[in-house]
Amino acid sequence: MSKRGYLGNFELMVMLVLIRLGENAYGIPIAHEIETKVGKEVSLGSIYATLERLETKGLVSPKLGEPTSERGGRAKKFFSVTAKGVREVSETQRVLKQLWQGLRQLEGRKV
Amino acid sequence: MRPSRPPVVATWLLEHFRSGSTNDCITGDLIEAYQGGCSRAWYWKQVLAAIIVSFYSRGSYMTRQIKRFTFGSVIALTIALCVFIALRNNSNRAYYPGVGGVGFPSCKYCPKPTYSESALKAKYEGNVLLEAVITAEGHASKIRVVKGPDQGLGVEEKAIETLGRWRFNPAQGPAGKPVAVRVPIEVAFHLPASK
Repeated sequence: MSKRGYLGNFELMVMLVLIRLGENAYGIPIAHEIETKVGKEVSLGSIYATLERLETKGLVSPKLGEPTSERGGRAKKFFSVTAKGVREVSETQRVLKQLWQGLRQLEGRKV
Repeated sequence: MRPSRPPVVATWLLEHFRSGSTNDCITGDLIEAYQGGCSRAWYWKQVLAAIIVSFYSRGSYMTRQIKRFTFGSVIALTIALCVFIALRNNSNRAYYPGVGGVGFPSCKYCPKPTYSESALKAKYEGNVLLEAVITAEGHASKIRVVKGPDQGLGVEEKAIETLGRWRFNPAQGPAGKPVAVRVPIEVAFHLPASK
């Protein structure tokens, strides 16, 4: 079996949001999308800490935008999912599906 | 859009106490959200959460030791912070232009950049985006590369060298006095023949 670290809950959420947002994925839209879908406020700090971790693993790649005055002269950092990242998300989905199957305790429950 | 300035102390804490490679981006995001109507309380909450999350997500020896003695560490950090703020000279503070009544610096003497041998050989043309503090005296300091070709042509080094030679009319602060500002600056490289 290959050495693989499966994605954690929040990591998976961030990866899925990055795929969903496409080219406009930076801190604020990512936070907004997660908040909309999950219904809870998330901190930008958690998102960036997760993105830094995913970047170290080679699952996302950053691209620096232009600095703007409404951001106090700071540039946006856009993130996109790498090919390795897409494979990792698919693999996590496959594993979760397998684990989910045949659980009688959860059958018929509305999630 | 809100014209007021985001909490300065919170921004300073974020820039100095959050460890990670995305500090500038998260600060920019927070300023953007604040200017877009988020409250000061929200801003503070996000800053503190960012610092704590970065602190706990790092697995260094130092972090583990600090975690073991959390209470003492918090007191030590608070004292250190107070001493640092007290000792900090206001004249060394770099503002952000266009925020809180701070103006923009303008170019006084800005000669074109020189080419490195390899950049000339490669006929490189393009821009290098730098960030620097333009001091109240009109000099560029704390220069760093934000975006460059990164092709090993020495263009980034030449851009930094060029910016170091440039002189500016400093930005005016809210009180009308010259202040240091942190600004992005683009240095353009064009071959002499393409003029």
